[in-house]
Amino acid sequence: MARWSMVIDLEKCVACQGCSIACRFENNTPVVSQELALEERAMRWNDVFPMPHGEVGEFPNTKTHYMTRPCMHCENPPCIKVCPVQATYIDDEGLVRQNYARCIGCRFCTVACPYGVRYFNWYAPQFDPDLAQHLNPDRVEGKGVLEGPSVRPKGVVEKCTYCVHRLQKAHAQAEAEGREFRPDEYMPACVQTCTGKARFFGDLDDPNSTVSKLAKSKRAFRLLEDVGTQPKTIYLQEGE
Amino acid sequence: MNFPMDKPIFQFLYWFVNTAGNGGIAVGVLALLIVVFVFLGLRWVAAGSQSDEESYSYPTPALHEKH
Amino acid sequence: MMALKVATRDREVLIDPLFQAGRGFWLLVTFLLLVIGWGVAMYVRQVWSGLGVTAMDRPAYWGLYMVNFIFFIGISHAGTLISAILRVTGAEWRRPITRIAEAITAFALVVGTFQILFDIGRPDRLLYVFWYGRLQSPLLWDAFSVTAYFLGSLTYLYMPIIPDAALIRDNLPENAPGWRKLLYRMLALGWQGTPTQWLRLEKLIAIMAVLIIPVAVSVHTIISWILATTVQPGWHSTVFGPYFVIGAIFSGIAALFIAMTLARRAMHLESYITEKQYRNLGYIFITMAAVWFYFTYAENMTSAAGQLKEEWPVLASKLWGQYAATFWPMVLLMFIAFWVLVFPSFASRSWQRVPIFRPRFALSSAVTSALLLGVLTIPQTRPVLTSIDPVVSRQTLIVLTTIFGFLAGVTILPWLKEHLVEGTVIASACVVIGMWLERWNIIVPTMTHPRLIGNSAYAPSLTEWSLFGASLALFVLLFIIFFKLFPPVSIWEVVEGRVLDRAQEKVVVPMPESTRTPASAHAGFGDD
Repeated sequence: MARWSMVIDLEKCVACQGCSIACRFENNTPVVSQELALEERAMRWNDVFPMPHGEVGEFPNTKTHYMTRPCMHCENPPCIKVCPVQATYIDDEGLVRQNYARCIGCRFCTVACPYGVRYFNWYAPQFDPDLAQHLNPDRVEGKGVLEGPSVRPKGVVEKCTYCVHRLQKAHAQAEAEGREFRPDEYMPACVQTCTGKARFFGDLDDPNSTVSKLAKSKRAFRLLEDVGTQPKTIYLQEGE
Repeated sequence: MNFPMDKPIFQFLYWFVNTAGNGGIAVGVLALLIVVFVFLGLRWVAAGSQSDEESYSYPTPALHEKH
Repeated sequence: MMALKVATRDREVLIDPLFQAGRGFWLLVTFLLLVIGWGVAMYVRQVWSGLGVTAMDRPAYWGLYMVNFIFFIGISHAGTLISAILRVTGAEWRRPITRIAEAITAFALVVGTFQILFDIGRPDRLLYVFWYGRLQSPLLWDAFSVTAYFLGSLTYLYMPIIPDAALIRDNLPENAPGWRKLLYRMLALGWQGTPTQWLRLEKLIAIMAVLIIPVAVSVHTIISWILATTVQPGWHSTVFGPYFVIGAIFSGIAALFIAMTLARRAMHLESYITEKQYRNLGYIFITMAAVWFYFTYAENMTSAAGQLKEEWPVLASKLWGQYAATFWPMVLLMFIAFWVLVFPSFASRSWQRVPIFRPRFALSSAVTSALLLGVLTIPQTRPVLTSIDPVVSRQTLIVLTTIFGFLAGVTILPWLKEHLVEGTVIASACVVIGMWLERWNIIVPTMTHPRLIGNSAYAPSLTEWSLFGASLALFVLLFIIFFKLFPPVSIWEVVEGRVLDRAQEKVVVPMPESTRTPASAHAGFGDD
């Protein structure tokens, strides 16, 4: 089966935050008030933030390096090991899934993730009246299952799903048309939107896919490689 | 490089710790065992009053030596 | 069916007060219910709005509730140590305090488990932990061991109550209400006190005592593994299992000292709980303090030596950063506890002839030292003495603080030597607060100094403090209600102990045989 992975080329990223916004609209992530954002209650499945080392260079030739971070969808995820109710689990296509219908909100997974990709619904999500009319209707649901862009209740954990609803739709489409599923039919909203064409998505198990080739690049690195989580979100560092 | 998952015992253990619901069953079985053990034990203690013996408000080692 | 007899003095002190409730009792109950009621209101608000009403945020996803969870479950180790280990090792002095210890265990477990209820985002789905429980998760291991420990502790609390319930059943005062007569009759299980019954009961208690020791050790070890099995800086430590167990026993003994002193004062148990209990339990307490210091030093020293990139900020925040305000007071409190417990044995009563070795002087010295420490540590918005060189004045302040602190510590020693109970309570209060701070220092610095998110601060909200207060109130309420229903001291064990002591006093141990007299060549060893 597939091993979905994302490659992000930091040389091409312009930190426009288009990925974060596309993700927010695709996945019905609510915007919080400014006070709540100052209380660190904002939810950013894909987060764009300046690198901790701060500005480089002398004024006026300073530069701030930015990082864009979705979920790593690790192959050895510390989060799924600790979930007491199997609300988060890894499926056979390598996606780390989150089931809102099962989550009890203990936040053990959130605490266990060394990357900080998980977010908790401290309050019930509130949408601006205009935005509330334009929520993404896609739902990933079933018996005891509620995942993806489905509007979350309060008290559950959520995170980037590599737009699993799009994968579901692509599979369903292929089946409806009676043909094979093609990997290039599935890409998350952030990859589709990226202004600088810095994001790539594909199957690591396919040696000919873009991500497989880019993963072998000399510039390729993964975050916190020494922790042993084997993240599948791969970065290409800036420079040649 | 797939050892230990090649071996059935490890496949079973993986299934055992990874299936939702097994945890509840384990805790339930444990609680049941303890409650049954305690219940039987207390019944055994209470049944000790059947015989026509003297009654004492407190024990001493001498009480057990005599019997 | 013979009615079981109880000595008049025992009945007057241990049984009759169960049926008398003065104004003080009802006032205390009302106050506790008010505090609990306030906590319930705050909890309802939290369930209604969401956990956003707490101060937890990203990255501090766990906060005060988790600290209290570990703290209360830690306190629950008092019962096992006293009752089980001391019973198994045949320490006779444990007899008057076993019931108080076992009660602390049962109620601390209840209150500790409530903290989980406060913390989860979906309390309506709490039972999912069982319906969908996944055994790989440390939370499930925790559910498993806490279930075993709770059921075991309840049994262990109940079994020695059976003969006492029978004693009360047979010695009820006239004004006893009908429901209480029924209660004791049911709980006594038809106890007659026949030799067979005593044999069986004691055997069952002995088996439980042995079985519950590993269960208790597993409980706090598993709780430590909730933290240690993650990869977070400061938590992924191999020493957490033993460290938490020692800390739990340490805080449990401290809680037991406080509870038994309050019970002793309120229920006039001075003739049952004597200085012997304080002294002997005090030795174990001191040992636990030493081991705690050893583990704390080992933990922090290896972290400091390794200076791993992700661990260093956590340690630095505790040593001189934002959590120095909770770390160093913890160390100081534990040191004061150790001093108060150990050093009085170096003093002697005759020191009190010198006027400065009086509590008043020690107290004023301590207050001076605390004031100077405040001046040193609390940031001044305006410099207090601008004419004096700040470096010199700072050094002088440090020296003076130390001198006055040392003076306070030394001059109080004779008073402490004479007032063992008061001294132990002071040390226990320091330990209880210190151990709570230790739980804080384990959870919060790691949570606020993650690898990839900027450092943040966490200060608990009113909701969290309210639920903490309500939890403490619930613990005390359960305690005082329990000891209005059952005697605070295990009557049969204490009477048995009394008989054994009296018998031992009659035993005359002969002098050893001298090796010089010629006649002794045959006497002593052989039986010719």
